[in-house]
Amino acid sequence: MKLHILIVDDSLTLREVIKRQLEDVCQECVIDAVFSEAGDGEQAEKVMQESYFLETPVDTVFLDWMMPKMSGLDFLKNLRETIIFKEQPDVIMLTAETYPDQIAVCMKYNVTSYLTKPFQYEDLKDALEKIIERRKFKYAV
Amino acid sequence: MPFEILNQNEYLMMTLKGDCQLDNTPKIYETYKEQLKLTDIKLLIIQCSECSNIATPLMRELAQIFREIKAVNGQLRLVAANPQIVLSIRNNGLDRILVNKLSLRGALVDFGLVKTKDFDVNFINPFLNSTQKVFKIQASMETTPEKPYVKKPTDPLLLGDISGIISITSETFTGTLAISLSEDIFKKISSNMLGEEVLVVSESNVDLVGELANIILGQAKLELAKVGYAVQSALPSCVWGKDHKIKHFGAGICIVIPFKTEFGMFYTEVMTSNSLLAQVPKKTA
Repeated sequence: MKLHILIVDDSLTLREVIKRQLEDVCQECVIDAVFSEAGDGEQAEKVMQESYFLETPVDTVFLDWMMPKMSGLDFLKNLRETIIFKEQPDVIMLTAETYPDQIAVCMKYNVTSYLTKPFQYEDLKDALEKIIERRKFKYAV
Repeated sequence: MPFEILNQNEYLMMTLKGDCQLDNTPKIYETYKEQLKLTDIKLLIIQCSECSNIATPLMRELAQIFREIKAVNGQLRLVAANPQIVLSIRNNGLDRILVNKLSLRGALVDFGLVKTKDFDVNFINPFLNSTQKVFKIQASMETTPEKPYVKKPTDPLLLGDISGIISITSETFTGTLAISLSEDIFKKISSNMLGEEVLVVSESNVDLVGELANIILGQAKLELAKVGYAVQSALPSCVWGKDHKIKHFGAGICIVIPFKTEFGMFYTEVMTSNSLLAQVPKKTA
Protein backbone atom coordinates (compact mmCIF):
# COMPACT_ATOMS: atom_id res chain seq x y z
CA MET A 1 0.00 0.00 0.00
CA LYS A 2 1.26 3.43 -0.94
CA LEU A 3 -0.31 6.77 -0.02
CA HIS A 4 -0.35 9.93 -2.09
CA ILE A 5 -0.84 12.76 0.38
CA LEU A 6 -1.73 16.27 -0.76
CA ILE A 7 -1.01 19.05 1.76
CA VAL A 8 -3.02 22.21 1.10
CA ASP A 9 -2.07 25.26 3.15
CA ASP A 10 -1.25 28.83 2.20
CA SER A 11 1.75 28.89 4.52
CA LEU A 12 4.76 27.41 2.75
CA THR A 13 6.57 26.87 6.05
CA LEU A 14 3.62 25.18 7.69
CA ARG A 15 3.28 22.84 4.68
CA GLU A 16 6.88 21.86 5.26
CA VAL A 17 6.21 21.32 8.99
CA ILE A 18 3.18 19.14 8.23
CA LYS A 19 5.05 17.20 5.54
CA ARG A 20 7.99 16.42 7.82
CA GLN A 21 5.73 15.22 10.58
CA LEU A 22 3.69 13.08 8.18
CA GLU A 23 6.89 11.57 6.78
CA ASP A 24 7.77 10.54 10.32
CA VAL A 25 4.29 9.10 10.85
CA CYS A 26 4.56 7.07 7.63
CA GLN A 27 7.97 5.84 8.65
CA GLU A 28 6.63 4.81 12.05
CA CYS A 29 3.68 3.02 10.44
CA VAL A 30 5.94 1.45 7.78
CA ILE A 31 3.91 2.92 4.93
CA ASP A 32 5.25 4.29 1.64
CA ALA A 33 3.99 7.76 0.78
CA VAL A 34 4.51 10.42 -1.85
CA PHE A 35 3.63 14.03 -1.14
CA SER A 36 2.21 16.88 -3.19
CA GLU A 37 1.56 20.43 -2.03
CA ALA A 38 -0.76 23.30 -2.92
CA GLY A 39 -1.03 26.85 -1.58
CA ASP A 40 -4.77 27.31 -2.17
CA GLY A 41 -7.90 25.51 -3.33
CA GLU A 42 -7.35 26.29 -7.01
CA GLN A 43 -3.86 24.84 -6.99
CA ALA A 44 -5.17 21.85 -5.07
CA GLU A 45 -7.80 21.15 -7.75
CA LYS A 46 -5.08 21.27 -10.40
CA VAL A 47 -2.91 18.83 -8.45
CA MET A 48 -5.89 16.51 -7.97
CA GLN A 49 -6.71 16.54 -11.67
CA GLU A 50 -3.11 15.97 -12.75
CA SER A 51 -2.61 13.19 -10.23
CA TYR A 52 -5.59 11.32 -11.66
CA PHE A 53 -3.37 10.06 -14.47
CA LEU A 54 -0.58 8.93 -12.15
CA GLU A 55 -0.04 5.42 -10.95
CA THR A 56 -0.88 6.62 -7.44
CA PRO A 57 -3.51 9.40 -7.57
CA VAL A 58 -3.98 11.64 -4.54
CA ASP A 59 -5.89 9.60 -1.97
CA THR A 60 -5.42 11.68 1.19
CA VAL A 61 -5.75 15.44 1.59
CA PHE A 62 -4.69 17.54 4.58
CA LEU A 63 -6.69 20.71 4.04
CA ASP A 64 -6.49 24.22 5.51
CA TRP A 65 -9.68 26.31 5.47
CA MET A 66 -8.73 29.98 5.18
CA MET A 67 -6.73 30.45 1.98
CA PRO A 68 -6.60 33.01 -0.83
CA LYS A 69 -8.26 32.44 -4.24
CA MET A 70 -10.24 29.35 -3.19
CA SER A 71 -10.92 28.37 0.42
CA GLY A 72 -10.55 24.86 1.75
CA LEU A 73 -14.31 24.58 2.15
CA ASP A 74 -14.95 25.54 -1.49
CA PHE A 75 -12.32 23.05 -2.62
CA LEU A 76 -13.97 20.37 -0.46
CA LYS A 77 -17.43 21.13 -1.87
CA ASN A 78 -16.12 20.96 -5.44
CA LEU A 79 -14.26 17.78 -4.68
CA ARG A 80 -17.32 16.07 -3.26
CA GLU A 81 -19.91 17.45 -5.66
CA THR A 82 -18.23 18.11 -8.97
CA ILE A 83 -15.05 16.22 -9.55
CA ILE A 84 -15.66 12.55 -10.15
CA PHE A 85 -12.92 10.19 -9.07
CA LYS A 86 -12.99 6.45 -9.02
CA GLU A 87 -12.55 6.76 -5.28
CA GLN A 88 -13.02 9.93 -3.30
CA PRO A 89 -9.91 10.83 -1.32
CA ASP A 90 -9.93 11.00 2.46
CA VAL A 91 -9.91 14.63 3.59
CA ILE A 92 -8.49 15.71 6.93
CA MET A 93 -9.25 19.32 7.80
CA LEU A 94 -6.25 20.97 9.47
CA THR A 95 -7.30 24.49 10.22
CA ALA A 96 -7.37 27.36 12.73
CA GLU A 97 -11.16 27.59 12.30
CA THR A 98 -12.60 26.34 15.57
CA TYR A 99 -16.33 27.11 15.75
CA PRO A 100 -18.58 24.02 16.13
CA ASP A 101 -20.79 25.11 13.23
CA GLN A 102 -17.72 25.23 10.96
CA ILE A 103 -16.82 21.70 12.00
CA ALA A 104 -20.42 20.61 11.34
CA VAL A 105 -20.32 22.08 7.81
CA CYS A 106 -17.19 20.12 6.97
CA MET A 107 -18.62 16.93 8.43
CA LYS A 108 -21.51 17.30 5.98
CA TYR A 109 -18.92 16.95 3.22
CA ASN A 110 -17.64 13.73 4.68
CA VAL A 111 -14.28 14.69 6.12
CA THR A 112 -12.41 11.87 7.78
CA SER A 113 -11.08 14.01 10.65
CA TYR A 114 -11.24 17.64 11.70
CA LEU A 115 -8.00 18.77 13.34
CA THR A 116 -7.59 22.25 14.72
CA LYS A 117 -4.34 24.19 14.86
CA PRO A 118 -2.21 24.18 16.96
CA PHE A 119 -1.60 20.52 16.23
CA GLN A 120 0.84 17.97 17.53
CA TYR A 121 2.56 15.01 15.92
CA GLU A 122 0.12 12.69 17.73
CA ASP A 123 -2.87 14.44 16.13
CA LEU A 124 -1.52 13.82 12.63
CA LYS A 125 -0.55 10.27 13.55
CA ASP A 126 -4.02 9.41 14.90
CA ALA A 127 -5.72 10.85 11.81
CA LEU A 128 -3.44 9.06 9.36
CA GLU A 129 -3.51 5.77 11.26
CA LYS A 130 -7.30 5.76 11.06
CA ILE A 131 -7.03 5.95 7.26
CA ILE A 132 -4.27 3.37 7.04
CA GLU A 133 -6.16 0.87 9.20
CA ARG A 134 -9.32 1.27 7.15
CA ARG A 135 -7.48 0.78 3.89
CA LYS A 136 -5.56 -2.22 5.18
CA PHE A 137 -8.89 -3.77 6.11
CA LYS A 138 -10.36 -2.94 2.72
CA TYR A 139 -7.43 -4.45 0.82
CA ALA A 140 -7.52 -7.53 3.04
CA VAL A 141 -11.19 -8.06 2.20
CA MET B 1 -38.33 20.26 28.80
CA PRO B 2 -37.22 21.70 25.46
CA PHE B 3 -37.16 25.25 26.83
CA GLU B 4 -36.58 27.13 30.07
CA ILE B 5 -36.93 30.73 31.17
CA LEU B 6 -34.51 32.30 33.60
CA ASN B 7 -34.61 35.75 35.14
CA GLN B 8 -31.21 37.41 34.58
CA ASN B 9 -32.20 40.53 36.59
CA GLU B 10 -32.09 42.96 33.66
CA TYR B 11 -33.59 40.65 31.06
CA LEU B 12 -35.32 37.29 30.74
CA MET B 13 -33.47 34.48 29.01
CA MET B 14 -35.51 31.81 27.27
CA THR B 15 -33.33 28.89 26.16
CA LEU B 16 -34.66 26.62 23.43
CA LYS B 17 -33.23 23.14 23.15
CA GLY B 18 -33.22 20.52 20.40
CA ASP B 19 -35.86 20.26 17.69
CA CYS B 20 -38.61 22.62 18.88
CA GLN B 21 -42.00 21.58 17.54
CA LEU B 22 -45.31 22.85 18.90
CA ASP B 23 -46.25 19.42 20.26
CA ASN B 24 -43.02 18.95 22.19
CA THR B 25 -42.73 22.60 23.27
CA PRO B 26 -46.21 23.24 24.66
CA LYS B 27 -47.28 26.32 26.57
CA ILE B 28 -44.29 28.43 25.67
CA TYR B 29 -46.51 31.50 25.45
CA GLU B 30 -48.35 30.68 28.68
CA THR B 31 -45.08 30.02 30.53
CA TYR B 32 -43.75 33.38 29.40
CA LYS B 33 -46.96 35.09 30.56
CA GLU B 34 -46.65 33.33 33.95
CA GLN B 35 -43.09 34.59 34.24
CA LEU B 36 -44.23 38.13 33.44
CA LYS B 37 -46.56 38.05 36.42
CA LEU B 38 -43.50 37.64 38.66
CA THR B 39 -41.47 40.47 37.18
CA ASP B 40 -41.77 43.68 35.23
CA ILE B 41 -38.80 42.94 32.96
CA LYS B 42 -39.62 43.81 29.36
CA LEU B 43 -36.49 42.51 27.66
CA LEU B 44 -36.43 38.93 26.38
CA ILE B 45 -33.56 36.98 24.87
CA ILE B 46 -34.31 33.71 23.14
CA GLN B 47 -31.10 31.71 23.22
CA CYS B 48 -31.03 29.34 20.24
CA SER B 49 -27.48 27.98 20.35
CA GLU B 50 -28.74 24.56 21.52
CA CYS B 51 -31.76 24.54 19.21
CA SER B 52 -31.62 22.74 15.86
CA ASN B 53 -35.01 23.77 14.52
CA ILE B 54 -38.03 25.93 15.37
CA ALA B 55 -41.23 24.71 13.74
CA THR B 56 -43.44 27.32 12.08
CA PRO B 57 -46.37 27.10 14.59
CA LEU B 58 -43.92 27.64 17.42
CA MET B 59 -42.36 30.53 15.54
CA ARG B 60 -45.80 32.13 15.43
CA GLU B 61 -46.08 31.73 19.22
CA LEU B 62 -42.78 33.57 19.56
CA ALA B 63 -44.13 36.29 17.28
CA GLN B 64 -47.13 36.55 19.62
CA ILE B 65 -44.76 36.99 22.56
CA PHE B 66 -43.00 39.72 20.57
CA ARG B 67 -46.28 41.58 20.09
CA GLU B 68 -46.98 41.42 23.84
CA ILE B 69 -43.51 42.77 24.58
CA LYS B 70 -43.75 45.50 21.98
CA ALA B 71 -47.09 46.64 23.43
CA VAL B 72 -45.27 47.50 26.66
CA ASN B 73 -42.25 49.05 24.88
CA GLY B 74 -40.04 46.03 25.51
CA GLN B 75 -37.66 44.26 23.16
CA LEU B 76 -37.01 40.70 22.01
CA ARG B 77 -33.91 39.24 20.35
CA LEU B 78 -32.95 35.78 19.23
CA VAL B 79 -29.33 34.82 19.84
CA ALA B 80 -27.18 32.34 17.91
CA ALA B 81 -29.96 30.91 15.74
CA ASN B 82 -28.51 28.58 13.11
CA PRO B 83 -28.77 29.46 9.38
CA GLN B 84 -31.68 27.05 8.90
CA ILE B 85 -33.73 28.76 11.61
CA VAL B 86 -32.86 32.22 10.26
CA LEU B 87 -33.95 31.16 6.77
CA SER B 88 -37.17 29.70 8.11
CA ILE B 89 -37.92 32.95 9.99
CA ARG B 90 -37.35 34.90 6.78
CA ASN B 91 -39.54 32.53 4.74
CA ASN B 92 -42.34 33.05 7.26
CA GLY B 93 -41.97 36.82 6.93
CA LEU B 94 -41.05 37.16 10.62
CA ASP B 95 -37.51 38.47 10.23
CA ARG B 96 -38.44 41.98 11.35
CA ILE B 97 -40.02 40.60 14.48
CA LEU B 98 -37.67 37.77 15.41
CA VAL B 99 -34.35 39.54 14.96
CA ASN B 100 -31.34 37.24 15.39
CA LYS B 101 -27.99 38.36 16.84
CA LEU B 102 -24.85 36.29 16.55
CA SER B 103 -23.86 36.84 20.15
CA LEU B 104 -25.45 37.59 23.50
CA ARG B 105 -23.37 40.74 23.66
CA GLY B 106 -24.88 41.91 20.36
CA ALA B 107 -28.38 41.51 21.84
CA LEU B 108 -27.41 43.29 25.06
CA VAL B 109 -26.04 46.19 23.01
CA ASP B 110 -29.41 46.41 21.23
CA PHE B 111 -31.15 46.48 24.62
CA GLY B 112 -28.86 49.29 25.77
CA LEU B 113 -27.54 47.14 28.62
CA VAL B 114 -24.01 47.17 27.20
CA LYS B 115 -22.48 50.08 25.36
CA THR B 116 -20.74 49.29 22.09
CA LYS B 117 -17.81 51.30 23.26
CA ASP B 118 -17.46 49.67 26.65
CA PHE B 119 -14.26 47.72 26.79
CA ASP B 120 -14.61 44.34 28.35
CA VAL B 121 -11.55 43.11 30.24
CA ASN B 122 -12.68 39.56 29.50
CA PHE B 123 -11.71 40.39 25.94
CA ILE B 124 -7.96 40.27 26.62
CA ASN B 125 -7.67 36.98 28.52
CA PRO B 126 -8.56 34.77 25.53
CA PHE B 127 -5.68 36.30 23.55
CA LEU B 128 -3.31 35.86 26.46
CA ASN B 129 -4.30 32.22 26.99
CA SER B 130 -4.30 31.31 23.32
CA THR B 131 -0.86 32.86 22.70
CA GLN B 132 0.58 30.77 25.53
CA LYS B 133 -1.16 27.63 24.27
CA VAL B 134 -0.12 28.06 20.64
CA PHE B 135 3.51 28.78 21.49
CA LYS B 136 3.63 25.75 23.78
CA ILE B 137 1.93 23.24 21.49
CA GLN B 138 2.95 24.42 18.04
CA ALA B 139 6.37 25.90 18.75
CA SER B 140 7.44 23.99 21.88
CA MET B 141 8.19 27.26 23.65
CA GLU B 142 7.19 28.16 27.21
CA THR B 143 6.02 31.74 27.66
CA THR B 144 5.15 33.88 30.67
CA PRO B 145 2.73 36.75 30.17
CA GLU B 146 3.47 40.10 31.76
CA LYS B 147 0.99 42.84 32.64
CA PRO B 148 -0.93 44.10 29.59
CA TYR B 149 -0.88 47.83 28.93
CA VAL B 150 -2.42 50.37 26.62
CA LYS B 151 -0.01 51.44 23.90
CA LYS B 152 0.51 55.19 24.01
CA PRO B 153 1.15 57.31 20.92
CA THR B 154 4.63 57.96 22.32
CA ASP B 155 5.46 54.25 22.65
CA PRO B 156 7.68 52.86 19.90
CA LEU B 157 5.73 51.57 16.94
CA LEU B 158 8.29 48.89 16.47
CA LEU B 159 8.38 46.19 19.12
CA GLY B 160 9.79 43.20 17.26
CA ASP B 161 11.60 42.46 13.99
CA ILE B 162 8.90 40.29 12.45
CA SER B 163 5.14 40.68 12.83
CA GLY B 164 2.08 38.73 11.79
CA ILE B 165 -1.17 40.67 11.51
CA ILE B 166 -4.77 39.54 11.11
CA SER B 167 -8.00 41.53 11.10
CA ILE B 168 -10.88 40.73 13.46
CA THR B 169 -14.53 41.58 12.94
CA SER B 170 -17.54 41.03 15.15
CA GLU B 171 -20.99 42.51 15.69
CA THR B 172 -19.75 44.99 18.26
CA PHE B 173 -16.22 45.88 17.19
CA THR B 174 -13.56 45.60 14.52
CA GLY B 175 -9.88 45.33 15.19
CA THR B 176 -6.55 43.70 14.56
CA LEU B 177 -4.43 41.06 16.23
CA ALA B 178 -0.66 41.25 15.76
CA ILE B 179 2.20 39.26 17.15
CA SER B 180 5.63 40.78 16.98
CA LEU B 181 8.79 38.73 17.50
CA SER B 182 12.52 39.29 17.58
CA GLU B 183 14.58 37.48 14.94
CA ASP B 184 16.05 35.24 17.64
CA ILE B 185 12.65 34.03 18.84
CA PHE B 186 11.44 33.59 15.28
CA LYS B 187 14.46 31.45 14.40
CA LYS B 188 14.00 29.37 17.56
CA ILE B 189 10.30 28.80 16.85
CA SER B 190 10.97 27.89 13.21
CA SER B 191 13.72 25.51 14.30
CA ASN B 192 11.46 23.83 16.85
CA MET B 193 8.67 23.42 14.33
CA LEU B 194 10.79 22.22 11.43
CA GLY B 195 13.06 20.02 13.51
CA GLU B 196 16.22 21.58 12.10
CA GLU B 197 18.14 24.71 12.90
CA VAL B 198 16.87 27.76 11.02
CA LEU B 199 19.64 30.35 10.73
CA VAL B 200 18.07 33.06 8.57
CA VAL B 201 14.80 34.91 8.25
CA SER B 202 13.75 34.90 4.61
CA GLU B 203 10.79 35.32 2.26
CA SER B 204 10.39 31.56 2.28
CA ASN B 205 9.87 31.15 6.03
CA VAL B 206 8.54 34.50 7.30
CA ASP B 207 4.95 33.48 6.49
CA LEU B 208 5.05 31.38 9.65
CA VAL B 209 4.47 34.40 11.87
CA GLY B 210 1.22 35.24 10.01
CA GLU B 211 0.12 31.65 10.44
CA LEU B 212 0.84 31.82 14.17
CA ALA B 213 -1.31 34.96 14.43
CA ASN B 214 -4.07 33.07 12.62
CA ILE B 215 -3.82 30.09 14.96
CA ILE B 216 -3.78 32.33 18.05
CA LEU B 217 -6.95 34.06 16.86
CA GLY B 218 -8.55 30.69 16.07
CA GLN B 219 -8.01 29.54 19.65
CA ALA B 220 -9.01 32.90 21.14
CA LYS B 221 -12.30 32.78 19.20
CA LEU B 222 -13.46 29.79 21.22
CA GLU B 223 -12.94 31.60 24.53
CA LEU B 224 -14.29 34.87 23.15
CA ALA B 225 -17.51 33.08 22.16
CA LYS B 226 -17.97 32.01 25.79
CA VAL B 227 -17.87 35.64 26.95
CA GLY B 228 -20.26 36.80 24.27
CA TYR B 229 -18.13 37.74 21.24
CA ALA B 230 -18.71 36.02 17.92
CA VAL B 231 -15.57 36.81 15.95
CA GLN B 232 -14.74 36.40 12.28
CA SER B 233 -11.17 36.34 11.04
CA ALA B 234 -9.52 37.05 7.70
CA LEU B 235 -6.28 36.11 5.95
CA PRO B 236 -3.16 37.05 7.90
CA SER B 237 -0.26 39.06 6.54
CA CYS B 238 3.38 39.43 7.59
CA VAL B 239 5.66 42.42 7.97
CA TRP B 240 9.33 42.09 8.72
CA GLY B 241 12.64 43.93 8.69
CA LYS B 242 14.49 45.99 11.24
CA ASP B 243 12.50 49.17 10.52
CA HIS B 244 9.05 47.71 10.00
CA LYS B 245 5.96 49.16 11.62
CA ILE B 246 2.90 47.28 12.77
CA LYS B 247 0.10 48.87 10.85
CA HIS B 248 -3.20 47.96 12.43
CA PHE B 249 -6.32 48.10 10.30
CA GLY B 250 -8.52 51.03 11.24
CA ALA B 251 -8.10 53.30 14.24
CA GLY B 252 -8.55 52.57 17.89
CA ILE B 253 -6.71 51.81 21.07
CA CYS B 254 -4.09 49.15 21.14
CA ILE B 255 -3.46 46.81 24.07
CA VAL B 256 -0.06 45.17 24.29
CA ILE B 257 0.47 41.86 26.09
CA PRO B 258 4.20 41.28 26.61
CA PHE B 259 5.45 37.69 26.89
CA LYS B 260 8.72 36.63 28.41
CA THR B 261 10.59 33.63 26.98
CA GLU B 262 14.00 32.08 27.47
CA PHE B 263 15.03 33.84 24.27
CA GLY B 264 13.72 37.32 25.09
CA MET B 265 10.42 39.19 24.92
CA PHE B 266 7.73 39.12 22.28
CA TYR B 267 4.41 40.94 22.07
CA THR B 268 0.80 40.23 21.22
CA GLU B 269 -1.07 43.40 20.29
CA VAL B 270 -4.84 43.68 20.11
CA MET B 271 -6.27 46.82 18.56
CA THR B 272 -10.00 47.41 18.80
CA SER B 273 -12.15 50.15 17.36
CA ASN B 274 -13.44 50.81 20.89
CA SER B 275 -12.05 53.74 22.79
CA LEU B 276 -12.80 53.10 26.45
CA LEU B 277 -10.00 50.95 27.73
CA ALA B 278 -9.80 52.45 31.17
CA GLN B 279 -10.23 49.07 32.83
CA VAL B 280 -6.97 47.77 31.41
CA PRO B 281 -4.09 48.10 33.87
CA LYS B 282 -1.68 50.92 33.20
CA LYS B 283 1.82 50.03 31.99
CA THR B 284 4.14 49.41 34.88
CA ALA B 285 7.66 50.82 34.97
